[in-house]
Amino acid sequence: MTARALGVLAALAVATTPVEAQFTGALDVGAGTAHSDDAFSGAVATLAPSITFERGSLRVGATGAYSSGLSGRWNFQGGTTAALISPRVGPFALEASGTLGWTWHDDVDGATTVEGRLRALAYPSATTTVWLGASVGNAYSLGLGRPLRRTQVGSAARLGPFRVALSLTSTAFDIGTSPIGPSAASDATADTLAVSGARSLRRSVFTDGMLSGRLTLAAFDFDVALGRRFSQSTPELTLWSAMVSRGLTPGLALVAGAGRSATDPVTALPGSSYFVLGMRVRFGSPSARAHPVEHAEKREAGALRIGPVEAAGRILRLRAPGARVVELAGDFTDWLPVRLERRGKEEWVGRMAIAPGIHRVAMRVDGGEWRPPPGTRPVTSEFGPDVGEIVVE
Amino acid sequence: MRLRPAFLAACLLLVGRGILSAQDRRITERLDPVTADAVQHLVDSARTAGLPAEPLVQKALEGSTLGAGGDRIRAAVSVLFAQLSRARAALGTSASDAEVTAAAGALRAGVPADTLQHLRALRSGRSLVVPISVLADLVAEGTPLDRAYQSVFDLARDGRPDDDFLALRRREVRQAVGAPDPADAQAPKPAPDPPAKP
Repeated sequence: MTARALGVLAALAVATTPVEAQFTGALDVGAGTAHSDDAFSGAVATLAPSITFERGSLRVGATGAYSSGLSGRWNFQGGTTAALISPRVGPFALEASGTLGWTWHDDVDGATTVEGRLRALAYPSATTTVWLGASVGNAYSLGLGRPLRRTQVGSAARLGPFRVALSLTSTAFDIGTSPIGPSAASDATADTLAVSGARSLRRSVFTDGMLSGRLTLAAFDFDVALGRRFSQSTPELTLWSAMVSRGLTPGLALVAGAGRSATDPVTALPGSSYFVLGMRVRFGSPSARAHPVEHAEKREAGALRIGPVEAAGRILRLRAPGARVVELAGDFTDWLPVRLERRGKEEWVGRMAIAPGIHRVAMRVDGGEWRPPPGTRPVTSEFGPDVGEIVVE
Repeated sequence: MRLRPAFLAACLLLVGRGILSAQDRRITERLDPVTADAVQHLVDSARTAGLPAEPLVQKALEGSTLGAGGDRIRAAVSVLFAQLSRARAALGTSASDAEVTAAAGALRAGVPADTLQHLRALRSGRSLVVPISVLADLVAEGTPLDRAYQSVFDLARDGRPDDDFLALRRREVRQAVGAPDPADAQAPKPAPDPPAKP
């Protein structure tokens, strides 16, 4: 059901968003050591691909993480998320997303999870975001589907060059165990909820509070996180991670990370202390680079359009139905009004030398008030009438 | 003969003043004398202080074309002068006029001065005109500063060419109706998972 709703949302977004798409991705390859909560300890090799597709307000991402020990034990955890965000209404927006996740292990059954999430976003300032979200879903393993619920509240802000975020995520997960016996009680994170036939159904409830930050200095990215897992029936656990990456070329970076992760009762992945060193390869670029003009034309019919550099200057075009005289003035004309020539019934054309950069411009029809040309960004002028700002490439 | 030294001094003074304050005909022809003098004084001060002067001239001409009075023109040019000074202070003396002009626009759009300094440090030795212009444009278009900042900085840190900044702008401006994903700001990459318990 969640997947179907997600598909409908995605299809609507793709169909109604007149913007270009972008693919980006990365592949992390590393090696290090891990000491897990299930007594495994030793060297590990990791491979973590990720890819993101964006189109307008739709974002679809897929990530994976493969780990293998020298003993041959391995696991793979993957997930794909599609998120659709609404236009902002004042300082608010809504985001709907769906996630499909799965884990595979070398010799035990993995788990598949499906979650749908709704999140309310607020932007109290230009540098701060606050959100409140809830998700419902199911986790499938061993032939059982078990309900999963999460609630999350958080805030992210920029403080100078720092990006910081604080979040609280509460997870409630019904754990099925089979059969009832001493092993069923071994999971100290769970509270017995019910007994049904040969299986017991217990609910694991835990809350992760995380404070994280990111700092970019020259070619270095620093990511740090510190948090605490709270649960009524398990010892509290301090979680942390630190990662630094150093860009070597535009598409290649050296990455080192260490930390303490927590067991995930939903996917049964054990927590661990780890240290990993590796390389990150980034790929992908905006796909619209080759067709900016076509997109600009779709953006607003009649908008001021500025052509590429030619020997005699750039050609400017705009539509002004019913006009007898159209004048344009801007910082590229020394603010002297320049008359455009009529082409056809509604189109007006001029040729001017305009350097790349941000320019201010205004138009006047039939000697009336100066105003921003259509398709330019209106900005308040110190002198009364609004003018337009344009970026010339 | 006794007047010669004084005459020479006066000539030198006039020549010096002429060099320092070459009258911009665009100003004198289109502004009233009082306003033209005031604007010319700011233009001269800008040149002396190593600030770009052309934006000041353009601001005055904009006011003239839009029919503003002398007081408003003088005030607007003074404000721009201050913005250019802040931009120069943020970027340093090695910044080009074009960079300082772009930075002044960014300050006007609401980009903090320390952000410009950070960008300067990140892209040392390469032109900042396009990155700063794109950052200013994104913020002015309504992209939250946090998102605009991170997007531009990611490209700058990776040493991407100007075309990539322009491509970013095209993409972001069209997404301005949306909003950033708070999860982007949350965090670090996921920890590597150890092999699972058999």
